[in-house]
Amino acid sequence: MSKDLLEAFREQAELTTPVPGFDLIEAGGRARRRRRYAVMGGAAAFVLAVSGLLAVTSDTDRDVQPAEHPDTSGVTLWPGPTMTTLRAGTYEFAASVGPYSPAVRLTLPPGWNAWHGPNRFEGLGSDVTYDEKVNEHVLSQDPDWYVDLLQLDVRWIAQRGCTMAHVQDRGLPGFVRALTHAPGLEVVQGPTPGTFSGRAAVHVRFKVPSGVPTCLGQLLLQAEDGPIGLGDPGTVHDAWVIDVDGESFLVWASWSPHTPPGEVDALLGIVDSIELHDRG
Amino acid sequence: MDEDSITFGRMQDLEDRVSLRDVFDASYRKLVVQLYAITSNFDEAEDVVQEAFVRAAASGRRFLRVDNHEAWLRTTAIHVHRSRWRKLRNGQRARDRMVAPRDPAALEDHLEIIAALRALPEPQREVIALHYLADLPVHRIADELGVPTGTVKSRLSRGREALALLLTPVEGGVDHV
Repeated sequence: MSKDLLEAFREQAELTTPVPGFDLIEAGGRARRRRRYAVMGGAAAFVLAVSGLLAVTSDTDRDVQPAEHPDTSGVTLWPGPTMTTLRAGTYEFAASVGPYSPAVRLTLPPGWNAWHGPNRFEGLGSDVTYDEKVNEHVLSQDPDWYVDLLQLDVRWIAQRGCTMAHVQDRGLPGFVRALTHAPGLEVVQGPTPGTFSGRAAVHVRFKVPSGVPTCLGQLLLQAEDGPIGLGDPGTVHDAWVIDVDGESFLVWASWSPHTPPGEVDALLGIVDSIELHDRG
Repeated sequence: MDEDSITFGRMQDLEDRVSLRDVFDASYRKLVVQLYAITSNFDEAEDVVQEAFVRAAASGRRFLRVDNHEAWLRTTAIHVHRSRWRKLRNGQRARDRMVAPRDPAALEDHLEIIAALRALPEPQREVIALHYLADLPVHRIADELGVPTGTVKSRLSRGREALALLLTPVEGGVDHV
């Protein structure tokens, strides 16, 4: 009967249909929203310009200016941990990476603070600031949520038994294995192989459970630039381990519990914008 | 919060509902198979279903508030498919008919039913796929396709007859669905 043939076809087809990585779907959704907002933002700016109401950025301290490097390609060098809110745009990184790491470029929307990487927290406005005291004051109010992004050359990863694993020469599989065996990290997604900026990569999402061991003082990673901690229970870490000429490079996006979904989306949108370039 | 709990009128938080990931895990394969039957092209089916999920991801919480996520995705995928064909128009369609659509190697034992579905006019393929592969009753098919129930019944009846005729040599006699 045709019905039996259709049923048999359905059964076999559903079993054998390949499934793409869900992170590709999420990335597609974020890209779609960014284009939508870019069109809306462009339209709004046009309206404001025509009406003569274009806002001027506030300048609370004339002596402290962001370290902008005029660059005909439209890329600004990352100013370092200035604790100031940056203009939207594309930035090139040297922070948190070693001298042989690839150059990292990423694109920020408005309202992101300059630390070792871009971060945002509750209470931070969207206006560009030039005085670190402004954003430090907001941070001192114990914000309810916090998101940040780091790009890391990792040397050591904490392991169970209060030890540290040296991962610099382990390659992608060894690095991922060490990361997924770090105490205080619970794998919630992946490891999923893929590519990142055209290079082989593995994506893993972790969550920090309650009751993590404290023998290493909640240290998780020792990077070229310094130690990186676990964060509070409930913190989510989204890790991209990227193969760069046989060594592993880590893009580490984190958000605390209670972070609004829109802020998480914006953070992951910045991750999507990352490009790695060989240093000249 | 499980499905049996009593809310006493409290609106469910979005965190209590399924996530897009849950819908993806439960429905992606089913939807690709349904759209494969409708479009007769496996690559096209994968494309339009992935496009539907990307649109769902882009719409964020609005998608999660929908009552029937799978129906939303299926309808979106069908609209994407129809929209593409409208843009391509007849010239491209004629060229595409000259290139055999890709059928997955894993389904080589089902080529007769795939060929039979492909031979049906698309309106009949749609209702056959939604009735037999998505297990939808007539009134739900009518809702999703935006056509009267009488039209669905008519297309279903003609589609069944056509399939029976097309599959007669395989089944060794006149057959009825």
